[in-house]
Amino acid sequence: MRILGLMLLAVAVVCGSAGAQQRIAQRRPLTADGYIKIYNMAGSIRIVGWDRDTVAVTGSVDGQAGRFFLHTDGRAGKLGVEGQGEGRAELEIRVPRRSTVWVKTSSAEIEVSGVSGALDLYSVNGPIRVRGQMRQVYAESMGGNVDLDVSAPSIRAKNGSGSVVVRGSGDDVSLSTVDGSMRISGAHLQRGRFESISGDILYEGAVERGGSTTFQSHSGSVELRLPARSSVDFALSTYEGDIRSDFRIQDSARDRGPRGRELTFSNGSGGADVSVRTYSGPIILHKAP
Amino acid sequence: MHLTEDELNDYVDGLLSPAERETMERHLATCSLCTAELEQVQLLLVGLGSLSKVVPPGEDLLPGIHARIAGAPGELHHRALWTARRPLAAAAVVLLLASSATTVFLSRGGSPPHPPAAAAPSVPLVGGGVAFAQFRVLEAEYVRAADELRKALERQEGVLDPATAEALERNLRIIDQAIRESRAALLADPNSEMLQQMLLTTYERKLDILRRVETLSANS
Repeated sequence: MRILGLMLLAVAVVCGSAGAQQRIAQRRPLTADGYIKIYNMAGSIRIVGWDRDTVAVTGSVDGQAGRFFLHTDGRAGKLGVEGQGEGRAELEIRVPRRSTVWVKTSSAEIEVSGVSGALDLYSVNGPIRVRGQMRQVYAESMGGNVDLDVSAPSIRAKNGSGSVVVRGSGDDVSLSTVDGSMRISGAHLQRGRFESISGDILYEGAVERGGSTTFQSHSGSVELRLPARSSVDFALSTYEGDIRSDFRIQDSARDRGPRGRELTFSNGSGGADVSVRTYSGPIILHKAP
Repeated sequence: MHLTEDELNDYVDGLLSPAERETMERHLATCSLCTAELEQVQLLLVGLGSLSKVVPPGEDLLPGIHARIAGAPGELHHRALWTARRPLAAAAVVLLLASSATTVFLSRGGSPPHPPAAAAPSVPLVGGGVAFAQFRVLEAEYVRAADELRKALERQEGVLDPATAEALERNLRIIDQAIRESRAALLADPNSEMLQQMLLTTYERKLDILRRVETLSANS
């Protein structure tokens, strides 16, 4: 009976340690414009920029998730969970504001704010949310929703079935999805490229004089809500979709062959190029109130 | 025990601690296989770094694509060795080249890149200066690059986690359907620049999603 009791106790200890949560509270030096790589396959990753030359991590790691690590050599570092299995890790990471941050996850939620350096974010299915002004942001996912409320010279996002939402401004913005929807609102941009295969694209914002913006969706709709007084040169083409416009279309339609339709016309004095192309998706131009 | 790709990349990126670096260098001093792998990583970085970020309009890329993919005889051995070791990296370079060619195609407002020199005199221009034959050459490169990436991923079967594999298949089904529709329309209307451009950018999306899976699945 005593042996059985000891065996049960041993099993309880092993199970207890396997399921135990590892609390994290670590910090290491990192230069103000350092580079940090972050790995966490499941759970959450919250990154906040701060005005210290230090990386500080707090949070917890499930016992099944693996071992937490944090290494830096002053100018670069990496952190995350090694040999991550089924478990989750919830990490809050403070990084020098001007850092370059690289993140890879499978399903963890990524949230970034207050970082003014460059961001490279990769996820399979977890959502990505970014706020703030930064040098550049690149977000890539297969199925997680991407939400960027940012001001950055360069904004890039790629998704599969997840949506992409962008608010803010950028000199050069490039977004693509497979069947995820895309919404760009309040945008001021010089150059934009928005592409989807079957996702709907909605653009609400101004187009800058001298700027160039292209939209393409195979079967999704492309809807633009532009200020009524926009000075724009439109080039719209669709193979079998409809074209509807609140803007007056001068008679410039021409056949594209056996099927298809192309319209080129200007509103106001022109000066900003807007090109829209679909295969079967409708093209809709609205005057914003 | 050999070094992992992640360790090699971190070494090249300077992300290892002094202790890790020392351990790794001790291993590299005695392991020719890992040293060769490290050289390949460094070569890839040098190669990628030397690629122009902006392809000036007018540059003839297709001969370069042909030379690298179809291979001049002198390059075949190197390519086979490299492809065997790093199939996805090889396909990524193919993707870069094919994408660059499309950039030229699109930046010319639909005029495709010059064909390979040998074919140039006989390629007819039709409808607004677009040659369907030239388009087909570029399309073939895309199909080939996508097949190469796909096969490389299939060789990694079991490495991809189920969520990634499922997301990949779902996305590829949608893209392939769009390709089928655009191709059918293009066969009926081969002079349509719009259909050519849409089809090429759809291929680009396909390559992109395959490359993305490689990025996301590496060492995950």
